[in-house]
Amino acid sequence: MVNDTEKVLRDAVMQYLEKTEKTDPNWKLHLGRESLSPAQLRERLKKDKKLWKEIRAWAIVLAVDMFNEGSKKIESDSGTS
Amino acid sequence: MKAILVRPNFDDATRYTFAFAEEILERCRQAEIDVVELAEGEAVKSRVEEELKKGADLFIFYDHGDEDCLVGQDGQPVIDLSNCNWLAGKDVYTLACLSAKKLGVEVWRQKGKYWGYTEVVGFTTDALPEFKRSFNCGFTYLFIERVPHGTALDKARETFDKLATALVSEGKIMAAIYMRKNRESLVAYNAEGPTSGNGGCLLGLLKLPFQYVAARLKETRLK
Repeated sequence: MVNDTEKVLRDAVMQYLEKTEKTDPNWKLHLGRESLSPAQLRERLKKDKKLWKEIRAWAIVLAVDMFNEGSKKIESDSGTS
Repeated sequence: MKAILVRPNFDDATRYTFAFAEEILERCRQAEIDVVELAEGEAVKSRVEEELKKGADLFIFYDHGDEDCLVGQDGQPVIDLSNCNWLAGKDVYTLACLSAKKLGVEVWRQKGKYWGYTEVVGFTTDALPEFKRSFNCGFTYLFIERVPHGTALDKARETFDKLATALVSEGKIMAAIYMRKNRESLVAYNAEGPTSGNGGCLLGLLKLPFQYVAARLKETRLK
């Protein structure tokens, strides 16, 4: 299952970058001194395990943030604290 | 208050950070901070040291950095561990990659205050106003609102969080990822010491949510 979720996330990231490339051809990720277009980032993510792990980790952190935001909203809507 | 603002401009990334720093110049003028600008060809070590010798309270740097230096227009350090004594006792505000890791610690040891990042800083071109806001907000909190470093850091982290959430809802996912990552490597030495909050325990922390999600998914499948 862990491998499945890894693949699901990887496919989603790749698909996102493909769509970005079509809708915003000038899009770039500036990472320190590097500038990566969507196509260059896709290629990098296929080879660069460290970069992939970084993006995977922060995507998960963002998901956790969203759950926490949801919890806060439930609390405020129900009047509990 | 006297400030020195250094902003080289020589590649894709610095073209944007150079523009981000324009707002900092405006803020200085609004706050009646006496600011000396060293831009492009003037953003080199000799000119930086010359201005620091004249005295300044605040050193602002908008460009590339490394763990132990801030990089000027000529690709050479304008400040590194060999001349960072010029920043002793001063406020430093920078968006440079990595520089809080060693340089910031050294400045802090010399009674300076250092606002910067411990990791490589990332930004995407689909969210330039949001990244500009994130990089510049600390300056407003510190030098316009004049709140203490600890409060400014808390407010800045909150701003990064809000921006990341908004970027997700706008479908700018890669921007949100790097907004969140930048937030985590932002430090304000003096608000907190270099040993805390600089990402040291982060890798372990990052593994937890992944393991947690995986475990929940496995449980769901078993049911």
